[in-house]
Amino acid sequence: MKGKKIILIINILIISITLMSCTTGSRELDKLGIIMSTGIDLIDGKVLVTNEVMMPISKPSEDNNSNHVIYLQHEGDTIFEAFRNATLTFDRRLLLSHNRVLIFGEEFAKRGVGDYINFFLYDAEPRETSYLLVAKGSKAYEVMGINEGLSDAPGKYLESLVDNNIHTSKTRSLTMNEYLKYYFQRKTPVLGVVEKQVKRIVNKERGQEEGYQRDVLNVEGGAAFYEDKLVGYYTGEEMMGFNFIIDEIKGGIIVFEVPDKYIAPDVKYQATKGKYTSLEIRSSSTKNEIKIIDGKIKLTINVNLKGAIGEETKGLRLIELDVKNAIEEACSNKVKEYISMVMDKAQKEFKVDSFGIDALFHRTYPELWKEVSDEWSSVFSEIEYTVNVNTNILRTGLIDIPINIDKGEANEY
Amino acid sequence: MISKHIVDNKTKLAELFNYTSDLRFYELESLGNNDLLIVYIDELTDKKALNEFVIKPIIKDLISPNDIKSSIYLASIREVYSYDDIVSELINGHVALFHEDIDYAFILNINKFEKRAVDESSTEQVIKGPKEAFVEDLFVNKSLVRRIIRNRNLVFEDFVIGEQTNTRVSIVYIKGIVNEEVLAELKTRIEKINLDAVLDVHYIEEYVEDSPKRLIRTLYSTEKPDVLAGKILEGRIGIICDGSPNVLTLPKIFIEDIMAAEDYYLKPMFATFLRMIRLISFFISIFLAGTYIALVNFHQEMIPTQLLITLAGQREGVPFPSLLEALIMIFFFEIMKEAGLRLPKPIGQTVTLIGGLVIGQSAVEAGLVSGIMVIVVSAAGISEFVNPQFRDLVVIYRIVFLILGGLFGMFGLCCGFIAFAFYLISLKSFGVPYLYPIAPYDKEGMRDFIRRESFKRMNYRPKYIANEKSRRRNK
Repeated sequence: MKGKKIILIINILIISITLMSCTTGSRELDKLGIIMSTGIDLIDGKVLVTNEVMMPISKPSEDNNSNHVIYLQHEGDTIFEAFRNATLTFDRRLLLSHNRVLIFGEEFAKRGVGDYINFFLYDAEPRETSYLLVAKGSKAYEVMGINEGLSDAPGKYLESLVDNNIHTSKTRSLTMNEYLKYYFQRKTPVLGVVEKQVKRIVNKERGQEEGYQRDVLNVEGGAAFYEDKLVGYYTGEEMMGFNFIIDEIKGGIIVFEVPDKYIAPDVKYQATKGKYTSLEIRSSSTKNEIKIIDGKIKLTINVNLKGAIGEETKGLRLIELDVKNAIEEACSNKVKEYISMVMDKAQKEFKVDSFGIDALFHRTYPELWKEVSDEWSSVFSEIEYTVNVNTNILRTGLIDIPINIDKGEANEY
Repeated sequence: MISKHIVDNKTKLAELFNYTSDLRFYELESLGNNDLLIVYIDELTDKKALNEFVIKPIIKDLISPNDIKSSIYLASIREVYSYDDIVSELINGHVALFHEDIDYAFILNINKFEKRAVDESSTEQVIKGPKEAFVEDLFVNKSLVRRIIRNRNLVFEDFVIGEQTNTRVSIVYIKGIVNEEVLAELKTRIEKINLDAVLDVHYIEEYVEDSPKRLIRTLYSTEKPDVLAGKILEGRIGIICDGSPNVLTLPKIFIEDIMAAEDYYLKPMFATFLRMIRLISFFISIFLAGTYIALVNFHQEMIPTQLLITLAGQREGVPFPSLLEALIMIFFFEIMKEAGLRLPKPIGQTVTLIGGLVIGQSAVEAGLVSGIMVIVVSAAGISEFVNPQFRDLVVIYRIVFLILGGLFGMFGLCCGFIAFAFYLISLKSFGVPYLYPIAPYDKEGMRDFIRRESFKRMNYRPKYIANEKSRRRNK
């Protein structure tokens, strides 16, 4: 009796454990295809999904240029169907968990992505931390498969390019969950952009014919969305302004011109006089304020920028106080220019508030918000804005006198 | 009753010992024409002492039977009045002396057993600290402890266990520090022991431990006198058994297996680091294989992309499912370990070397197992050796968790872990919770847990083990 009881209990335990577990069961690694990047396009009303699948190779081959990936294309009425249709032509089950980049074709983005990307939330596998990008001016699959970096897969190459955003701030690294956050709050996400460019051939190998070209990917710029539709692109410089407004500057270089009058009168040039000064952004913080004055909505953008002089080619003496102030002012003006470029484009061309000014307005004037919320796009276009930038130079580089001016007596040593 | 005539005694004893060949009878006549009989077991007696201090003075000086005690130069002479006593004394190597016309016998303590010299411990090796280890002789072992703790409160209590072997077993504790309840409990358990033979102290372990069916040992076993001294100074009780170089101490808690004697001879901070390493390797040795299988088979999304690709590459072309692959590897690993352990040293090394080469390298090259599996299994195996006390527990539970992880993924592993934690918490060793001082949390006890604090700050002995609120020093 006792033995039977124990066997019964063990059976119940085993059955309940298998039923309760949410996983579909064990999947051996050698039965899986690991997706590195996914492109989505619309062709004749059907979804065309392109996947880059990593080839599992036990030892990395000595040939670094070869990509251990293959590409799958499959169609369906929904993305889920397309993924399942992939098993009709591909021998392994696809694993979406490691998909790092999701590329929308331009046509698809213009049509609107909202209904299709539901799949990526319904399904348990896809990660919400994968980057979203728009393939500027092309189909998504056209920008896939290009690897001009050192990564061993094009998907990783593209992911690293987006990660590199912290060095330039000229694009946007928007992940799926951030996209949804913006989408739900303000309906105006700005996505990163990927574009195919022709690479200048540096070392032409033997056997290459005339007209041979290699492509390289470029992620400069941003794609402005309204609701789930692409309305237009911001350029790289506009994206810097954009990142200043939304306070997401993590790094980057600002290049500007200081007026000639700050060059000391006794400077003797030993070499070519340059034009520009570059400042490396060390940190930046932005505070936006909104006020209603005389019935007009006025926006103030206060940027507090700290940076280091990266190079100076004009022959300025950085050690003098008025020169330093002039440099700071010139830099501030450049930042103002970036900001007004992107504000003008958003207000006049797109009529889309990409910056979350509506949320700021809602916070500041909760009662008034109800009146303007329905026609915010037109209200936003009429907002008058002022930009205050306070640049602070923390340090110069290793030298403080450029080499193209005569240092006087110090030069003799 | 002992006969007055030595001839009767001789025949009686010979009969009692079933005419064994190593029982020696020596009849002699003293100066005063007294007839005497000396009985002893050959090779158990110190012949030199017998000749010098017993036979020589008797022959030279003994005149009257009343002078026997005064003429023999020995510290320990007793009179016994029954054959049973004589037999048990003879067994222990003592010498019995009979005199004509006296109806009792004298027992002379001049036994000398063949024994191993006190040597360096081979199973618990240390870099710093005392190196000597217990031997198989009870008296030597007692003296080793007595030499460390020079205290009149150090008590040995002797028992004789084993119907056939009559093995001497001794428990040792310090009066005043020991928890009297535990002591009384141990004594009643020892009284109840019903064994025909005691060949090693672990025979006794099975009888006195709380739950003999369970896999986890609730008695600590050591080979080093300094470890035993440390344990009994914290209020534990030691069980020493004649014929065994191992000494058991009780009650035992989980963390004792993580500690090493050396911890107290090193800098506290470094000892803490070492304990953390040991604790981590305990978990690695049990859970690594199961976790690996669970991640690879169920939760590929939890593995970093680059690692997953490498793992997938390794798995490519391996004919078995990962769970089976892991089981095969662990099986061969255990075989190799057992082979290396039992064989004589020179051959043992060869076996390990060849086994390592064959299984580690050739199997991977032949594509039978993946390289990563070899790494996982051997990492778990090496971690096992960090805590040799946990060996029996680790070997079995590793396989249990491997199967849980392989069949039910992280879910099964977590369920198993919870059950395992319950199991550990429910264990008790002589009334002391096994997971003390975590499970009943004790702030004082935590001072010498994973963190080894300096002696200055370790003021109290462990709460349940020693007497209530027992201070280590008076001030």
